[in-house]
Amino acid sequence: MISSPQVRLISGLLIVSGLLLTRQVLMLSAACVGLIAYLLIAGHFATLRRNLLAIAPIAVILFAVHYLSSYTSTIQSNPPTQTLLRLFGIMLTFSYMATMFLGYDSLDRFVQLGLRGEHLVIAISATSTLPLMQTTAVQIIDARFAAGLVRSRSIFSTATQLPYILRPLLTQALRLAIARSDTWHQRGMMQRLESNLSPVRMEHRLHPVELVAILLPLAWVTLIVGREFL
Amino acid sequence: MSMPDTPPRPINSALLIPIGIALNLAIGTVVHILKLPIFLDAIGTIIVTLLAGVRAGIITGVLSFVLAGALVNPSYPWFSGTQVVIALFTHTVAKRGGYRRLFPRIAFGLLLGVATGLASAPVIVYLFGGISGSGASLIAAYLIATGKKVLEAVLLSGLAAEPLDKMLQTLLAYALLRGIPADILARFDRTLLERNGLLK
Repeated sequence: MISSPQVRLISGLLIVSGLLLTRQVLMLSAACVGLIAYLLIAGHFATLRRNLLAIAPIAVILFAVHYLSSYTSTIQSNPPTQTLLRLFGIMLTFSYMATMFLGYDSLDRFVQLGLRGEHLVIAISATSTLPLMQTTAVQIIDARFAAGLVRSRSIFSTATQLPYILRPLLTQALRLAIARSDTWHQRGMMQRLESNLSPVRMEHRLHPVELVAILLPLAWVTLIVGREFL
Repeated sequence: MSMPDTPPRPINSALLIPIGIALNLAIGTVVHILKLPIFLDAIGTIIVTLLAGVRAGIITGVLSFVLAGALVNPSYPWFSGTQVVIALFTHTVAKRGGYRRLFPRIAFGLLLGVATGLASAPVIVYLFGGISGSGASLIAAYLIATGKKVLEAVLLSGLAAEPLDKMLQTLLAYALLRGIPADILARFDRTLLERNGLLK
């Protein structure tokens, strides 16, 4: 897996540049296949599934729009090509975004990104607070279900409970944050976090995979420039 | 012997931001899954901006959308700029006491919707080709299919869905904040809360 944030940024910028420059379905589909292959090889099946689930409704709507507009429009164009171009573009931006943030969920990774002190606390808490609040929300729904205030556990029934869940959820989360803030202040957690943070070993030498992650997008952008402008 | 009456220590905003992020993600995700023509994904940003200021609000908005991109839907991070607009607008209006009364709150909620509709439109048009997969996209899709230009359709669908959505979010955020017990509110900046109409 590509661990260096700098490598991810460089390859990401190259992909975005190519995306903005090209108007060819072939070039975009090639880049999509490359990124999907990387996600498959790295074993990020859940990310790939999420991307496909996100793009599926967009694809359906885009094709429906072009199918319907082909009846109303008098302008001669190539709707399937335009739609494919858009779809591959979206797929590429989604896959790129997924690979940019893959694996950034641990202390070491956040430190590697250069986060320290308060920013490090925000990043760690951001990834840990959501499951905590989800558990509390489930507990509130359970309590309302037990009291006979919720008829079923369907998604629509749960959605109607939203206004009743939010207030106790927010109050409980704020109480927890205040308790944490006090404990941290008493124990000097921020200072401890700063002083006891073990230095992360920074790799100065490029890993072969990281070299490929830069060279491939570079070759892709060069090819695009060659085909589009020369 | 009685203890000296010391004011309560203010809460560390680093612990408030994750709550705002979790609120944005939790509510926004449910709405996105249900494909409702609203978003409700900025309540956390509005709450944090009103409780802890514009810097905390911007961090909440941007981080929640980056995180949502990794956890929920990869389209979210591209709309981080809209969250910045929400935090800046909320802060600017609250600073001038615009949220103290109900009717101005409704009016500024609608205006916030216009601002976010304008901020999101370029991303939807140039990055997604007019369809971003949200509930509002269905309106845009209908308009495109009936012959409207993509930018025009996205702007119209945004202006149809966003003002109502942002007004609801502003009112919901205020209703939630008004329900917070006084002992919790006492841990936040009193001047900020008075100015924002949360304390009298």
